[in-house]
Amino acid sequence: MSVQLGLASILFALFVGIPLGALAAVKHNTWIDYLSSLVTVTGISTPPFVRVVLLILFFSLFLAWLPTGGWEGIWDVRAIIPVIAIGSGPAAILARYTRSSLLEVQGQDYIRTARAKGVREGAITAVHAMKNALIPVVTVTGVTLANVITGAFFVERIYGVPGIGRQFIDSVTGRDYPLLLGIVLVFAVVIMIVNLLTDLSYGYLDPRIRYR
Amino acid sequence: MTTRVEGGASRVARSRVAGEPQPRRARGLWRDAWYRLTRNRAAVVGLFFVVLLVLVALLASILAPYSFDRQDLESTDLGPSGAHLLGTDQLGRDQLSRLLYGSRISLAVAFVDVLIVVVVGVPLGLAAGFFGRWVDTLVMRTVDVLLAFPSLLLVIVVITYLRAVLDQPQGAFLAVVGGLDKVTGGLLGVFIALGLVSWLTVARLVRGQVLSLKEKEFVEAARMVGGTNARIMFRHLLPNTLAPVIVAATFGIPGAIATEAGLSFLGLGVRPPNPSWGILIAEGLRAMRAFPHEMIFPALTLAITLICFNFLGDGLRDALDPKLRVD
Repeated sequence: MSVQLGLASILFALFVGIPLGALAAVKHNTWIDYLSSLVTVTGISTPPFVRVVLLILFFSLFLAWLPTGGWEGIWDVRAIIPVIAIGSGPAAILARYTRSSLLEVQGQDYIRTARAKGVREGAITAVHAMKNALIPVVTVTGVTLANVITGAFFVERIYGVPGIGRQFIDSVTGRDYPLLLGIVLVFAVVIMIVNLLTDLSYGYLDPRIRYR
Repeated sequence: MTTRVEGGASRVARSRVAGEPQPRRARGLWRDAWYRLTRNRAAVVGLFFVVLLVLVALLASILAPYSFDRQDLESTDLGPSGAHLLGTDQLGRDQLSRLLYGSRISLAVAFVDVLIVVVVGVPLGLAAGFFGRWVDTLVMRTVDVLLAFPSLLLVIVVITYLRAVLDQPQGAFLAVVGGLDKVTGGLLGVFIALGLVSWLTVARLVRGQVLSLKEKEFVEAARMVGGTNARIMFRHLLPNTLAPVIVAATFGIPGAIATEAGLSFLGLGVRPPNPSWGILIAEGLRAMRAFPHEMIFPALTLAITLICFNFLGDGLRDALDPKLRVD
């Protein structure tokens, strides 16, 4: 369950965060940019247990669209709130990085060349600028894994998802030390592997970086 | 004499000749920063809210209509009304009073977080950057190891261990610490666990700054006129690293407040009946379908507080170091 939830949250973060950051960079210093930075600050500053509580209040109690808890697999509507609650933190971080990195790239010479060739503005952003702007963003994605794990502690407990995050919290409150140690070990291994993959991915993304 | 070579804006301000027609009045770094900060609308909102929060925390006993732990079992789970502006919880305690007193806990955490940054993070970073060699290795490897964990995971594990040790203390020292922890309603444990992680980024930041600054001419000049190591570190290097430290400390505060609320939410932090915002949210969660007001107000207060601290941090960053601005 936790792996499904975690992957879905990271995908959510990628598919929401990067377009949001790109949109903010393209329309930068307009109300779209300001709105997106407000959303980003909210996502970065609120902890996941506040986000999930507010989401439940709004979507489950106020609008009554979604159930208030439970887990029936990743394809069920019950997965929507936990995925958004966990994923919105990394999404906000990714959006912020995408925006600043795209703004930086757009000032470079080859973007001006593309513009001089008569390439449409949309194509410049999507093809020329994005490819280079995404390098720092991809490296941050690995780091956001920590947010996903710690986010899962609270969200799985509040929303009643039977995953490893809830196991962890139960082991802490129930003082089940062997289980606690085991779960921390699992987290440590996962984090180490992802950090290693992130480091290795630098070389593929930016051919100037080579490992000897 | 050595104070003249500090560098920074004071030098710029003094170099203006008095009486000459000037396009605008010369200002120091801090006045400049203040000017830029007050031009930033989000930062002003954040600053205003933070000041308000401090006032509320200081005056909580005057402002709160009831005591935070006064139970009234004849009026439990009431909705917002004239007598109880934000309603009551399942034991009939006034929610507004609990929320007001809760701000004290959050601000105490913020204060201790900054204290640890100043007392531990900054000196260690200074020493690591200035002395290099084994001091640097020792401090920075410790930082690396602790930063490798997600901080919340580390804090939860540490506080679980602390709770286990302090509840059945062995030896005089642990008994004293455990007693203090009980008196403060579990806050001391939160402080210890937070203290382990809150100084890391600032130590790294200060070290990086010192590494580049200690090669500058003004350090050489200070050494030449006989400045001791301690004097160079605290009188010359420290002021120049202050701006990023202030920014990092401001960004650290919402993290610390959120961590405390999270721990209390899980039942690991502050103990009931002390009204931490995290506890209020956890208690509100129990009956959220029937009495959503018990959850809405603490959750919104916490969210707004964290956002405002972030606004203030963003504003400070732009004001103190305009070069860092993206656009």
